[in-house]
Amino acid sequence: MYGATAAGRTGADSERRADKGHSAAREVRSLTASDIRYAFDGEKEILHGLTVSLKKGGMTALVGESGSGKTTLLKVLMGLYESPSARFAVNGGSATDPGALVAYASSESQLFPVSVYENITMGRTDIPPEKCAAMIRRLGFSSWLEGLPDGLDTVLAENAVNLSGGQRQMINNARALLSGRPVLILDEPFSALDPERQQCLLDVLADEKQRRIILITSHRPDTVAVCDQVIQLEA
Amino acid sequence: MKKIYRFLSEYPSGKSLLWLCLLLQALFALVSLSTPEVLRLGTNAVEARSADGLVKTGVLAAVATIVYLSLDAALSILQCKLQNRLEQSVQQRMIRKMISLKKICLQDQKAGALITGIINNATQAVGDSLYTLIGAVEGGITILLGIAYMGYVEWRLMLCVLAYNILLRIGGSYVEKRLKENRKEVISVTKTNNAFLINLLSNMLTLRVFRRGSHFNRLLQERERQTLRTSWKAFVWSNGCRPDRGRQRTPGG
Repeated sequence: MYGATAAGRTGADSERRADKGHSAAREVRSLTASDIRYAFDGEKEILHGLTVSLKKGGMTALVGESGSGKTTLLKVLMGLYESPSARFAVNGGSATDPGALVAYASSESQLFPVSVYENITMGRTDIPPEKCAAMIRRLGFSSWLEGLPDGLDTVLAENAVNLSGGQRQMINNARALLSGRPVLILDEPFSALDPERQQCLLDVLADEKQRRIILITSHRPDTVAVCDQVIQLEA
Repeated sequence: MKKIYRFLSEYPSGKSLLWLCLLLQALFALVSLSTPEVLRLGTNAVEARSADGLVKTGVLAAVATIVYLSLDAALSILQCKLQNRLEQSVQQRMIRKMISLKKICLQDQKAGALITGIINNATQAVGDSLYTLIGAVEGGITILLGIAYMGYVEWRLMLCVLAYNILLRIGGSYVEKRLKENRKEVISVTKTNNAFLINLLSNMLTLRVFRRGSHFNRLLQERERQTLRTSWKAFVWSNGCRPDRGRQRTPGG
């Protein structure tokens, strides 16, 4: 049995359990969600009994037109939307809270007016600054890191207006990669990156897929081409 | 004060009236000083048991009262007239300026709201400027005349009051500077911390996925405490320097 019970999902307990995802990174080989149904306000059903099976060792692309339910599916997998019919299984055994295993990198700016370090670690103290710096370098942002006035302690401006789109995306990606959670969901992770940094991220993901389950949403054929499995959603 | 004068004297319709107002205000301050002099003459006359002195004092008191009331009435009428003229001029100027603005600035505004805004802004700008300038002139003249009168009555007392006023002025400037700094700090801290809260709310998705709500909630609470501390500091400075501090409410309510 993986994850926590629904009753204990809030507050510091939930945070402690979520942090344990780091140690669980090597334990999750597969995540299956079956019979996912979802309808907003109980009316038009967007997901109709969908089954998704994700495995470690490969990257999965989630593609589909706008309105096909990609975001809804991601939110169900992350435990943000509840699908009463859905059943989750981790390594073949049932799981009640798969969201605790998931790290997510949004395509939009999801940054806070705190330090770069705290933005990446989200306040976790078990991720050393050296590890953060190393990940930023691996993602191709060494020169940006060297140029920060206070290094990782540099505080981001409100709405991260002092960062470019690529830098914001890099922080989102680094946050998910360093979270240690065994399932990575990356929403358009290449959209704001230049080709050189796209390659850096691909190299990191190629390495990570040996240890984690990776699900990527993208509209770009070149991104889909590097994935081992494609889930196509129809509108 | 220079800026206020420049602002008010920009309107030709009010410039002569403004000077007349300031002149009358100076006279008003001078006549106000007759009260201690009448009291002094009256006390001397009583002490000297001089009927003639008492009559003179009475006449002086009556004349001073008539002049005082006349000046007061004239000032009220003049100030009202001046304020109306200035308001009209400012409104006309604002409307001229508004007409020359690009369309994009106006498209989201309703005409009624726009006109009301102009009238309110003009009234407030003129009212505040006028009364600040007149108040400052009156205050300055009253202090100067008061010092001169004290020098006439007792020059040593004048020196003491002068020294006291200089110290008061230095202290006042310092307090004013601190109050201004505190106000700026409160605005800045509140703005930053409100922005932090808005940022948390707009990034709720990430907080929920990573389940770090408690950590950021702690950060938010720290910031709220900081806002409260800054507000309290400003409150203590502000109310510690006010004579009516007993009636002031705390920042919390």
